[in-house]
This record gives sequence, C-alpha cells and structure tokens, in this order.
Amino acid sequence: MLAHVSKSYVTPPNYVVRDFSLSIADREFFCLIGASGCGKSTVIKLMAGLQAPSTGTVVRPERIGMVFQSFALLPWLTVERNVAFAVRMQGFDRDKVRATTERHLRMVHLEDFAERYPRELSGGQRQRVGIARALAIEPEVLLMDEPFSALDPVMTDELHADVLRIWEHTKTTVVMVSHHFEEAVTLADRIGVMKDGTLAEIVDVKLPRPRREGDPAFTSTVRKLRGFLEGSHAAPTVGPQPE
Amino acid sequence: MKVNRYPRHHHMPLYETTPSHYLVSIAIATGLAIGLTALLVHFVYPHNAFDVNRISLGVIVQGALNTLARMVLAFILSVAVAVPLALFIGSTPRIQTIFLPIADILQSVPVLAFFPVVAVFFVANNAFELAAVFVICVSMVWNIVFPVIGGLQTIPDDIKSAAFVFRVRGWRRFWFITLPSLFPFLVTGSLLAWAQGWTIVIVAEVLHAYIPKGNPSQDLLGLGSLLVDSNAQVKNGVFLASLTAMILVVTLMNFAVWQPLLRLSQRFRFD
Repeated sequence: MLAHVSKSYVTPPNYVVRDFSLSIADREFFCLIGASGCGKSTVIKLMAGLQAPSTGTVVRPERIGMVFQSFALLPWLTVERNVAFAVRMQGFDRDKVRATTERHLRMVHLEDFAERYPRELSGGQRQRVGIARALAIEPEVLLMDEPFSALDPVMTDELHADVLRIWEHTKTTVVMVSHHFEEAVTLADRIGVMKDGTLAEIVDVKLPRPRREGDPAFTSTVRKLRGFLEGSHAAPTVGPQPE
Repeated sequence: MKVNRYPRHHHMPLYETTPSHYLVSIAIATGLAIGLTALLVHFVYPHNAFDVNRISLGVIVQGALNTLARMVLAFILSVAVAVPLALFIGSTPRIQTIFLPIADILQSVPVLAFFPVVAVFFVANNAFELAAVFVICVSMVWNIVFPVIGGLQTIPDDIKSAAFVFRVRGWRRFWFITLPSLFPFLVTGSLLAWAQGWTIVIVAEVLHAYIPKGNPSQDLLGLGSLLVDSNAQVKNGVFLASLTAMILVVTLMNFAVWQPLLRLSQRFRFD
C-alpha cells in the first residue's frame, strides 16, 4: 500500500511521483500503465523498497519477488542455480530449496534447461527463469517492471498465457508496470493509469478470461484507457476500490 | 514414463560456491604457502648468492622457480591491495572524482625511480626477498586497480536491484554478486600485471645495482639476475639458457593459466 507518496531525486524537489496513493487487494493482478517518463517505474521501485519516498508511507510485505525487463539473471549460474540461489537467500533449508526450484522450473516448462546458462537461452526463456526465480521465493507480492518489453510479439503472447496460467495456479498478488494498453487489459483485474507522476484513474476490468484483442469489450476498454491517458474521456469510470 | 530428473542422490549444486570462489581460495592458499615458505627461506638464507661463472641447468631451473615464486607472492599481495583500493575508489561517484586523479598520478610514477630507496631500506633490515617482491608488487597493482574500477561500472542496475529484492545484501552481495562480476576484469588486469611484473623482475632481482657499494653477491638468484649478470660478464650460454627458460615459463603460463582463465571469464560477463 502506498499512501500519499511523493518522490523527487533532486533538491529543490522536482517530483516524478506526486501524492500517489494505492492499495492492492490480496491475490489481485494489478497493472500500472502510463506513458514513458510518467513515474510508473519509480512507483514499482518504491514498492520494492529500492528507493525511499520523499514523503508519504509505503507499507510492503516482508517477502517480495520481482521480475525485471532485462531479466537480471546471473550469467555465471545455470538456470537451476539462478533460481536456487534466490531461494537459498531467503533462509530456506536445502531440501526445500531443491524441491521449490524443481517445482518452479517445471511450472515454467524449463526443467530440461536446468543445466543451461542464461546466454544459451532465448529472451522468452530467460524471462521464464526470471519469473520462476521470483515465484520460487514464495513472495506475498510479485512485482513486474515491464517484463515483456524486451521480447518480440510472438514470445510476448506466449508469456502472457504462461503468466496468467501461473497466476491462476499460485494466486500470488501481482503488480505489473506496462506501457501497452492491450497487455494490461489482457492480464489485469484492475488497471491504474498514471499521468505526470500521479494516479489519474483506476479501471476495473471485469472481462472474463481468456481475453481476446478482437472482442468489442476488449477494444472498448483499451479505448477508455487511451482516453484517460490522453485526457479526452469526458466521464471516466472508476472501478470499486478494494478495502 | 517421465524420469525423475532429481533423484535423491542428486547433488544439486546450490549457490554456495562458484568457480571464482574456488579460484580465489586456491590463489590465496597457494600464495600464503609460497609466501610463508619464501619468508622462511629468506630469513634462514638472507639471499641466494650465485656465481655466474658456474651455472648449471639445475641452477637455471632453481632460478626460474625462485622468480616464479616472487612473482606469485607479489601478485597475491598486489591483488590484496588493488581490489580493496579499487572497490573504495569505485564505491561512489564523489570518491571517484577525488581519488581517481590521485591514482592516475601515482600509477604514472615509474616504480624503478624509487626502487633504490626501497632496496636500501629492505637490505638494511635483511629482507632481500621482500625488496624484490615489493617493487614487483607495486608495478602490478595499478594494472589491477583500473580494470576493477571499470568492472564495477559494468554491473547492471537491474542486477543490483535484484540482489536487493532477493535479500543478497552486505557481504553476501560482495561475495556472490560483486566478486564474480569483477572476475573477467581481474583476469584481464592480472594478465597485464604479470606482463608488467616480468619486465620489472629482471631489474628487481639485481639488488647490487641499487645498493651503495653493492656487489653481485647481493643479487637474488632468479631469471632476472641470471640474465643481467650473465650479460654483464658476457656469459652468452647462460644468457641464452636463462632467456629460453623465461620464454618457456611465460609460454607455459599462457597456455596453462591465462588462456583457461580467459575462456572461463567469458561466462562471467554480462551481455
């Protein structure tokens, strides 16, 4: 939860995030979208504790997993060791590390790639390792910072399906940052639209899954989001705020 | 039937050790062993005098081993100094701004310019071996400092962020993230350091040239002193044999040490 959070990197302050407040419901898939430079990556870094807010408070759970746009895998460790390393750092015992690593590699269909090194994998496979690593530590919240931006469209679609499958299986709370409206509508329960460092709107996405880009309801939601961002939508609709 | 890829006896290699950890441990253990032995030798036998007129193959082999031991000890000491120094200088932009120019000036000072003063000091304290090791070490240090500082800049921000999020902090971050990240730069710097060291060792072992009223009996037995003293006394056979020995040692090191390390270091590079 973020309450009236602001963030400036310079003095005197020039806020990249201003009076930002947000609560994420348990097991929710929340997506934050906005144009480049609107502060959404700063928000996710504040959530992860990578940066401290200039003002306001951030309440975060004890264990957070994170998936990065650049994958952030250690090149000298195999796929298996990359996942196991993160799990072991949480203080789990060796048996649990082994079992958890094995289970999450299976979950992302990379059990046969366990002995490969990251440079031997495709971008999509590397991101699967990143997802497995983030989930293997059994986080209370999974943060995803534009996780598909470095991938081609075909790979991105595959990973969308995988992420949804894994999320529906694990029911982990997910907060994802994106600048693609279609991606946000495909994945999220709720979408926050950021503009100039503030949360301009929050939209409930009540469409049944799997969602298809050609569906009229899908297209209408995307158009509504685009309107919020461009400031041309006259009567914004905001979904109910969770408790 | 799907085979269980993780049978109970499978030793899943966890994060605890990586090749860089083994290498560092082996290097430190070897260096300590060699260093302690060398110190013991030089206190029992303050210097290993030799007569360039009576050089056998065995003496040349002994000289090669002596030179190698001095180089290894100097290298271990130079890494022990250079890596913390580089980590300090590269720690923040502000410290870099202050100390990088200072380091740049210091590395420009030719080590042989102040070697006579150093040599006199060590010889006066009966530490002949340390005189040579010290000057070789100083010549090696800067070749490691600057690549390591450069290496610190190449660690991606996302890796640092991932380390924080996954609770790899403090000494664990240094041991499991920073040190392996620096491995390719340590290898490159070490290669340059040894190249510099081979140049300096040739003069570092010829102590008598730097001691007031010195004589060749004060030289340390090694490939450097054999080359210089045999050349001074026109002992061409000894000179050629010593030169050949040096080339052999350098070539063997290249094949046995540097090439494998360079290949291994590729695994540690960020794309």
